[in-house]
Amino acid sequence: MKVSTNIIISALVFLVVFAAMIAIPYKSMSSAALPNFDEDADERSDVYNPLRSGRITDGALVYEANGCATCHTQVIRPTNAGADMWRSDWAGLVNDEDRGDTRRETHSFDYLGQERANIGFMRVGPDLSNVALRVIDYIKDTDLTPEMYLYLQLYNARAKVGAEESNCPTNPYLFDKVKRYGAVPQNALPIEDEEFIFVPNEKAQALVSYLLSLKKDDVAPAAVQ
Amino acid sequence: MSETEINSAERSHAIKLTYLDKSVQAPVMFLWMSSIVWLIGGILLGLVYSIKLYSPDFLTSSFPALVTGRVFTAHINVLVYGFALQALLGVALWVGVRLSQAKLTQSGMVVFATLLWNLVLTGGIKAILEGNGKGVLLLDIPQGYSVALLALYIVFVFGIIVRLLSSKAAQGSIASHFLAYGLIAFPWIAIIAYNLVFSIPGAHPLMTTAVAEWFQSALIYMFIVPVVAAGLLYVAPRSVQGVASNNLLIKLSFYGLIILAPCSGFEQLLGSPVPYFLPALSAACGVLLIAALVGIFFEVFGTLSQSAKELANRPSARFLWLGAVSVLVLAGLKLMQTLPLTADLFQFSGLDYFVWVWVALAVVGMSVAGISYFAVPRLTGREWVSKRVVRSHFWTGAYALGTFLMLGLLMAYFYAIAQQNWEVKWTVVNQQFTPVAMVITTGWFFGLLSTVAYALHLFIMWVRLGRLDEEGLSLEQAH
Ligand code: HEC
Repeated sequence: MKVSTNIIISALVFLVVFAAMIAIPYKSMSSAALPNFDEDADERSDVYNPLRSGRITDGALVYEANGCATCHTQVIRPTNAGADMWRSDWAGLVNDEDRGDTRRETHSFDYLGQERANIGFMRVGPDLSNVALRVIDYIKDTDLTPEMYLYLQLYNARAKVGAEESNCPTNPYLFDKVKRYGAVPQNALPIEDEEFIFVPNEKAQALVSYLLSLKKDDVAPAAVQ
Repeated sequence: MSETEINSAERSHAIKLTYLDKSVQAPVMFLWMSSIVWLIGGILLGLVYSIKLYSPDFLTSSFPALVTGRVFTAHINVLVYGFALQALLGVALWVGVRLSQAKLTQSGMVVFATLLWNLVLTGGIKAILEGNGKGVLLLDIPQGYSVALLALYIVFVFGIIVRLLSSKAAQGSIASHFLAYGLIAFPWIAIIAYNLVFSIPGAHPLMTTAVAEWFQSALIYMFIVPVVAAGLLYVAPRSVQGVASNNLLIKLSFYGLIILAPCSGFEQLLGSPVPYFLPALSAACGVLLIAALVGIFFEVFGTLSQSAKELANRPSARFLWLGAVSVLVLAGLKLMQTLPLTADLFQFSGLDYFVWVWVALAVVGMSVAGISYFAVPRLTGREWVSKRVVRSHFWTGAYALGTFLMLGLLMAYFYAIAQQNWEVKWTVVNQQFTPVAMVITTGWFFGLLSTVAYALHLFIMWVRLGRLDEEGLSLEQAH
């Protein structure tokens, strides 16, 4: 057969595959329906509207551009695919004060608001789908805000007590190093330094706001819980 | 035909080939030389990345831009667009003019395009290292640079594609079909993926990610593998002075590849909440696609096996052999990514990284080395200089591949098992990752030795310091 004939055949094959596996799912999923609450199981029947607030879109871009997803995943797979669900604080909380066990697998609505689902490449660090709830737990007995806890994590993860061996990279580009004089801004890092203070910049604020939106704490319909 | 007639036919064929080779000499040598420089750069980035995985502050104070995640991204992009793509374009030009028996007329323009490619790509990699990448693996290079690279790609391949489609001589060889398919596929998949991932408003975040995953697979199986196959199929019979072995098998492999490569690639989304039929259907395509890879392996391997002596002594035959074996191993890795049992277990343990390493260093690296050991003497009119350098290229390369494949997968397996231990704290699980990272460092260390040996040799050939000798270099031991 001639080269050109085979190119035409392969173009046709490609067209079919493209339509069936890329174009149609791409279109139909962009209007993916949100799950409904069920009268019997949930005692309400409206559409579930996953609440997420924070600088999700631009924060996610900082996350992507700096390769966080090469070490961190954001997906809780079903139990037949791995042990993600069974960890006590990855998929929700095993013992939420108000609602008991809130763990569930990831659903497509969990990614709404960002441009891409940062499923992740490797799991070197912990999965971050529920990092915000963990952070709230970490700061319980400290006077840190959740934001400040994460700024410190990103500034130097190895400064955390008990995490001297952490591989999470330092991210100097997220902080402005400014000469110390006069009043120190509220969000400056609590670091002892005679000469300089370290202030989270625009990118850092977006990133941390994004990270704090990663949590599974609202009541989803029983069918997906 | 009388004997003199055969001789004169042979001679005129040889003269024709010399004439064809001459027309691509400058661009092909330049493409291969710069691809090797990028490979060295990519390996250095791989070393920095892997060292940062166990000593995170390595180089941080002197080069704060070397953030682990960005280094990783730059590393993969350099291996693919700096090394693999330029190496394969060199193959495409040389094999393309020979298959179509039509010489390249705009070689100066291709040399200039190569120069520009290197400049633009340097800008793109710099942007990634400065934190301005787009953060989707292998679509990371910012838009302006990406568009420029695509335009340059079309300058490289347009003439070759036209030749392959129109020249009578090209139609009979299966290598032409693989080559034309790969060269035409790349810009399509790149344009489609780039637009679906970045440009269409209102898309679901999961589907943009799905397309990004598909693109990675399409890049391997619709572009890299077909072009590598074309090179292997063209050179293997010539390197051992044999004939192509099994026509039917390789034809089936070709059709298998063009039917199955586009629909595979969504397997990576296993366990994420995409419509279930996508990873399932994709896995079915993936399993069958493996058969096509095995077919390519058997064809090349069968051809090379016709002469055990040439296989042992010819540098090109040895590396082609390693290239063919690499395609077979790639089939095995694909199987691991596809079968639910191993796919789930290895999903986040580093297997995908090893696949990229394998594609760059083994499938492209070894095959293009084999092709260039054959082609460069014909392009430059000189012979390779040193057996010892070829041997160290071969053996350190084999060590590198062995390290990644054996130790890498073994350590990734232990890490994957550790991840399943949900009662153990993650910081403890994470300690099991250090051996994986150390294997990566070791592998790249051997890879660097191997590549530097080859780069020196190629450089000598490039500046015309090869041996002026009729005999091709043989690795035969002196008795
Ligand atoms: C080299 C791999 C690597 C990269 C890249 C990486 N991390 Fe980490 N990360 C880790 C590891 C390992 C841990 C666990 C140790 C620790 O808590 O510091 C971690 C922990 C974290 C934690 C604390 C999670 C918890 O539950 O305690 C956060 C938050 C975090 N990383 C955010 C990020 C962000 C944001 C980025 C991108 C700027 C990033 N990481 C890039 C490896 C990485």
